[in-house]
Amino acid sequence: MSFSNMFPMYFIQGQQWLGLLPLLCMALTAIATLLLAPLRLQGRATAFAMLLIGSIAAVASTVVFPFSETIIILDGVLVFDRLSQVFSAICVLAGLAAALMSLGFDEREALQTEYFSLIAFAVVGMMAMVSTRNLVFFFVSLELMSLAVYVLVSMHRQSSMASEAGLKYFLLGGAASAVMLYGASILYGTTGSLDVEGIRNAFQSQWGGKLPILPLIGLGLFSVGLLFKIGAFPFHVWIPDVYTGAATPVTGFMISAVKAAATGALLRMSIELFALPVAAEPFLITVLSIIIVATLLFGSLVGARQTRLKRIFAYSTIVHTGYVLLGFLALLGGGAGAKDASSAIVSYTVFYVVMNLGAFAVLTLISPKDNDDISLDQLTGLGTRRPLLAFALSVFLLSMAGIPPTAGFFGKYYIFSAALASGYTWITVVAAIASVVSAIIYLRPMIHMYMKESDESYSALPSNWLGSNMIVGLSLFLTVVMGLIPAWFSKLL
Amino acid sequence: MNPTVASSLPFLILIVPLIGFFLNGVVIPLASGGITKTKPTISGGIATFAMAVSFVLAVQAFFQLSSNSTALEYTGFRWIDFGNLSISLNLRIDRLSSLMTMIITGIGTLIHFYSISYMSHEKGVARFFAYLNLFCFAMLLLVLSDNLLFLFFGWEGVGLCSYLLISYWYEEEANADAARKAFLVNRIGDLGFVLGMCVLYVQLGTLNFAEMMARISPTAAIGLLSLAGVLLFFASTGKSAQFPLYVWLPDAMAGPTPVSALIHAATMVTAGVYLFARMAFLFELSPELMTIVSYTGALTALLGGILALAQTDIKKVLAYSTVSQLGFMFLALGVGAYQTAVFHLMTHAFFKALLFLGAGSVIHGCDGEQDMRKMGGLAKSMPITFVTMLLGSAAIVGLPIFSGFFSKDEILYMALGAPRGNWILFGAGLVAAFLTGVYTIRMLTQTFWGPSKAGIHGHESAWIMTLPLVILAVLATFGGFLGIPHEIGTWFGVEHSHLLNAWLDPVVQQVNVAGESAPLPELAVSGIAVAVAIFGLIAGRTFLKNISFENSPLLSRLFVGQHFMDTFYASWVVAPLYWMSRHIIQTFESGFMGNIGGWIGVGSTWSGERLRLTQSGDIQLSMLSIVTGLAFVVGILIIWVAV
Repeated sequence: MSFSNMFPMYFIQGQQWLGLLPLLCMALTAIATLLLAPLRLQGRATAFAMLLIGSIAAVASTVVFPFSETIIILDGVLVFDRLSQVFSAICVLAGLAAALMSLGFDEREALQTEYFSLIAFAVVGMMAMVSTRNLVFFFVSLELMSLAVYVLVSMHRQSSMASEAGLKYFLLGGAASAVMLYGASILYGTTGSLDVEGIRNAFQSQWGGKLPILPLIGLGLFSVGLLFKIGAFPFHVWIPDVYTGAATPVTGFMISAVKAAATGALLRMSIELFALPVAAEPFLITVLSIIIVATLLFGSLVGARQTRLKRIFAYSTIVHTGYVLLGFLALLGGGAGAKDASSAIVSYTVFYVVMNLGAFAVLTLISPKDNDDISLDQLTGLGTRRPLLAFALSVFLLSMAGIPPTAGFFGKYYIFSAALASGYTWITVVAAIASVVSAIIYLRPMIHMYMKESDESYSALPSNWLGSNMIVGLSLFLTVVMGLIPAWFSKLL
Repeated sequence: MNPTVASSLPFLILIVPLIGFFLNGVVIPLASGGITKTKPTISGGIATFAMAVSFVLAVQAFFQLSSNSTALEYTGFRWIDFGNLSISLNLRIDRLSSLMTMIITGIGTLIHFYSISYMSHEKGVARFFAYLNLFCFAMLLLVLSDNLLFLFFGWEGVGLCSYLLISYWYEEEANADAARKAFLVNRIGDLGFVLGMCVLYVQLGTLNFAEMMARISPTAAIGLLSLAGVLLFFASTGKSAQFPLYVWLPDAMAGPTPVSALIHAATMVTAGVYLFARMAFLFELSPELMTIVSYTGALTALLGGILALAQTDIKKVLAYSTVSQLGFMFLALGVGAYQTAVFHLMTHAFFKALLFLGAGSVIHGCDGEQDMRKMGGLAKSMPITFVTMLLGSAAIVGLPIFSGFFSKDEILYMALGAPRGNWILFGAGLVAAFLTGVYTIRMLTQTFWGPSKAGIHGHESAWIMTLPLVILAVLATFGGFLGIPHEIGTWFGVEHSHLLNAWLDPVVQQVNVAGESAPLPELAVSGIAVAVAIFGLIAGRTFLKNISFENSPLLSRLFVGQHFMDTFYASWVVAPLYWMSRHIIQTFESGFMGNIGGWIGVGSTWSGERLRLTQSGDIQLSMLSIVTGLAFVVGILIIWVAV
C-alpha cells in the first residue's frame, strides 16, 4: 500500500480557491484579530478595523469572483453554491453590523477586545455550516459558532444575568448538540455514510425512501438539533432567557446572524436530506405542522404579555420562526409552491435580518449603562425625546408586524403565497391569525413611545454612537427600499 | 415609422417633480428645522423649476415622438416578482400620453409660478408646494404608466394630494370636511376601480394595456369584461365628477385657488377621460354601457350648467361649470368620439385654468372676498385680469376662433352625427351650451361691470400672477386651431387641418361620421351652436344678469348650494347608513361581537399569563420542555412506523 493511498492528499486547485476565498478571508481575520489586536494599545479599534477589512474582503470576494457551477471540495465537506454564498454573505454582513453597533457600547460596558475576534469566529462557523454536506463537519462548524456565541453571551460581566444566560445557553445548547450528534451517528450506523448525498443514496437504494424506524429516529434527532437552533416550540426555551441576558448588540447578532445561519443550514438539509423521506412519509408533514402551529401560537400569545423589550423581541423571533417553518412546510410538502418556497425563505431571512439589526441598533442606543434590559416604560416619550430613533424603531416594528409597504409585508406575503400554492390553507390561516395576535407585540412599544406621557427619569440617555446610528439609518433605508422594490430581493437563490 | 424606442425621458419627466417634492417636503425642512421656515420664493422657485424642467423634457419627448417613433418606453424596475405574479413599473409615452404630459407639466408650470405670488402671504408655503409637486408626480405616473396597476397608484396619489390640498387650511373645520367629503366620494368610485382591475386580471391575466388589448379580441367571455367596463366607468364618475358622484367637486373649492385650477379643473378631474381614451378597446365591447356613459355625460352637462346659474361664489360658478364641461367630455366619450373628448379636455384645461387663475386674481385683489354679489366694476381696477378672463369666457362659451368653439362644436356634431348619437344628446348639449353662455356672462357682469358694491375696489395682481394669465389667454384663444374641422380646412386649401386627430389617430380610434349620413353638416351644427351661445350671452346679459335664487324658496332649495343632491345623499345614503350602523352597534356589536372580542382578548391574555409561567427561567424546566419535545417527536415516529 502506497503512501498516497494511506494518506490521501487533497490539493485545492483553480476554481476551488475562488469558492474557498470568503471563508478563508474570514478565518484569517478571526485568527489575526485574536492574535494581533491585544498587542496594540488601541486594541479595540485595531480589532474592529481588522474585522471590517476581513468582512468586506469576504463579501467582495463573493461578488468579484462569481462562479456558476457548484464547487465541491473534499467530496462535499465544503460545498459552494448559490445557497452557501447568499447565506454566507448575510452572516458576514450581519456580523459586521453587530460589530458596528457595539462600537462605543463595548467601551462603556468594558467588554474585552476579544469580542470582535469572537464575532469573526462565530461567522466562520456559520459560513462553514451553510456550506457543507458532511454531517461531522456540520457538527464541528455548528460548535465553532455556538462556542463563540456562548462566550459572547456571558462576556457582559457587569451583568449577573449575562453569566446566567451564558451558562443556560451552554447547558441547553450542549444537550441539543448531543441529541443532534446522536442522530448523526444513528444515520451513519444505518447508512454507512456521513455525507448527505451518501445518506440520501442509501435511503433510496436500501429502502426506496420509505424508511424503517432507526434511520427515521436518526433523522428526527438530527432535525431536533436544528429546530433548537432556529428556536421552534418546544425547543425555544433558551431564547427568552438568553436573549434577555446577553448584551444588546450580542442579542442583535444572535437574532440576525445566528438565526440566518440556522435557517440556511436547515434549508440545505431540507433540500438535500429531508425532502426524500418526507415525500415518502406524509405524516412527517403532520409533525412539522403541529410544531409550526404551536410555535406561532405560543410565541404570539406569550409575547403579547411581555414588558421588557429584549424579551419582546425574543418572542417575536419565535413567531418569525413559525413563519419561516411555514416556508419549509411548503418546500417539503412538494406542492405547487415548493418551487418558490426556497426563494421565499431566503427573502424572508434577508428582510428579517435587516429589520432586526435596525431594531437592536436602536435598543443599543437607548440602553442605560450597566443594565441594558430595557423595559417598555423606558420607551415612554421616546417619540419626543429622540424623534428620529422612535420613528426608525416604529418602522422596524411595523415591518416585523408585516404592514405594507415595509419589507416585512412582502416577506410574509412570499411565505404565505408559497404555502397556499402548496395547498396548506388551514395552517396559513393559523399563521395569519398569529400575525394578527402578534401585532400586539409590535404595537405596544409604539403606544409607549408616542401615546404615553414622557417619564422624566429616563430622559438622560445620551448615547449617540456613530456605528449604531449608521446601522439604524442603513436598516431604515433598506427596510423601506425592500418594501418598495421587493422584486430585487425575491429571487436571490 | 420606427416602433417603440427605449428612452429614459419618461422616467426623467416623472422623477423631477418627485425630487421637487423631496426638496421642499423633506430635505429643506430637515435642514432648516421646520417646514414653516422656508421662504415662499425659495420653495416656490424650486417647485416651479422642477415643473419647468419636466415640461422641457415633455416637449423633447413630443418632438422625438413626432419625428420617428410610435412610443418611448422606459423599462423600470420589477416591483413584484414572485411565482407567477410579476409586475413592473414600466413607463411609456405614446401620442396620447405625450399630449397629457405636456398639458400637465405646461399648465402645471404656469400654476406653480402663479402660486408663488398667490400664496406669498401664507406661512409654511413649502408644504403647499411640496404637495403640488407630489400631485404632479402622481398625475404624471397616471398618464405614463403602461399598466393599469400603476395607473391606479397615480389615481390614488392624485386623490391623496387633492385631499391634502383641499384641506390645506385645515384649521377651519369646513375645509377639513370638504376634503373628507372629496376623499370619501372618490373612495366609493375607487372601489369600482379595484374591482374592475380584479375582474380584468382574472379574465385576461395581465394589466398591461398593450397585452390587454391583444388578448381581448379572442376572448369569448365578454360578459365579465363589460362588467369591468362598468366598474371602471363608475370609478371615472367619482374622479371626473360625473352624475351622481359630482357632489364633491364644488366643495373642493375650499382649497387654494391654484389648486382648483390645476387639480379640480385642468388635470385630475380629466383622469376619467384619459382612462376611457386609453382603454377604449374595453369600453367599446359593450355599446349599452357607452349609451349610459353618453346620457350620464349629457345629464351632468345640463345639471352642472343649471347649478352654476344659482351660485354666488365665483369659484363655485367655475366648479359647476367644470362639472358641466366634464359632462360634455363624457358625452363625447359615450358616442365614441374619443379624440374629440381629448380635444375638449385640452382646450378646457387652457380656458378653465385661465378662468380659475383669473378668479384667483380677483379674489386676491379683493382681499379674499369670493362672493360675487359684493363685487362689481372691477374691470377698471384689474384690466389685465379682466381682459384675460374675457378671452377665457369667450373660449368657454364657444365664440368663433376661440378654442372652445372648435372643441365644443365638434362634440355637438359628434353627439348628432356619430352612430350612437341622436337628437336627444344633441339637444341636451345645445341647452348646456346655452347655459354656459348665461352663467358665464352672469359671472362677468357681476364681477367686472356695473357699480362697485360693498366698497370693494380691488387692485391688479403682481406680474407673477398676470403673466400666467396672459400666456393661458393666448392658449385659450388660439388652442383650438389644432383642431380645425375638415370643412373649414378645405376652404383654405389645407389637407389635414385637424392636427389633433391626425396626431392621435395611431393611438386612439375615433368613430367616423360619414358626411352624408349626418343629419346636419358640421358647419350647420357650428352655426346653431354659436347662435345658441350668443343667445345665451344676450339672455344672460339682459334678463338674467341679476337673477337671484334666494327670492324663490323652491328654486333656492333645489339649486343653491346643490341642496338637492346633498339632501338626497343625506337622506338616502348617509342616514340609512347611520341608522344601520347604529342598530348594528346596539344589537349585534355590543351584544354579541363585543363579547366575542372581549373573550378573545381575555382568552389570549389569560392563556398568555398561564403560558408565561412555563417560561420561568428555571433550567430544569427548560430541559424538561426540550426532552418532552424530543419524546414527542421520537414517540410519534415510533408509533407511526410500528402501527
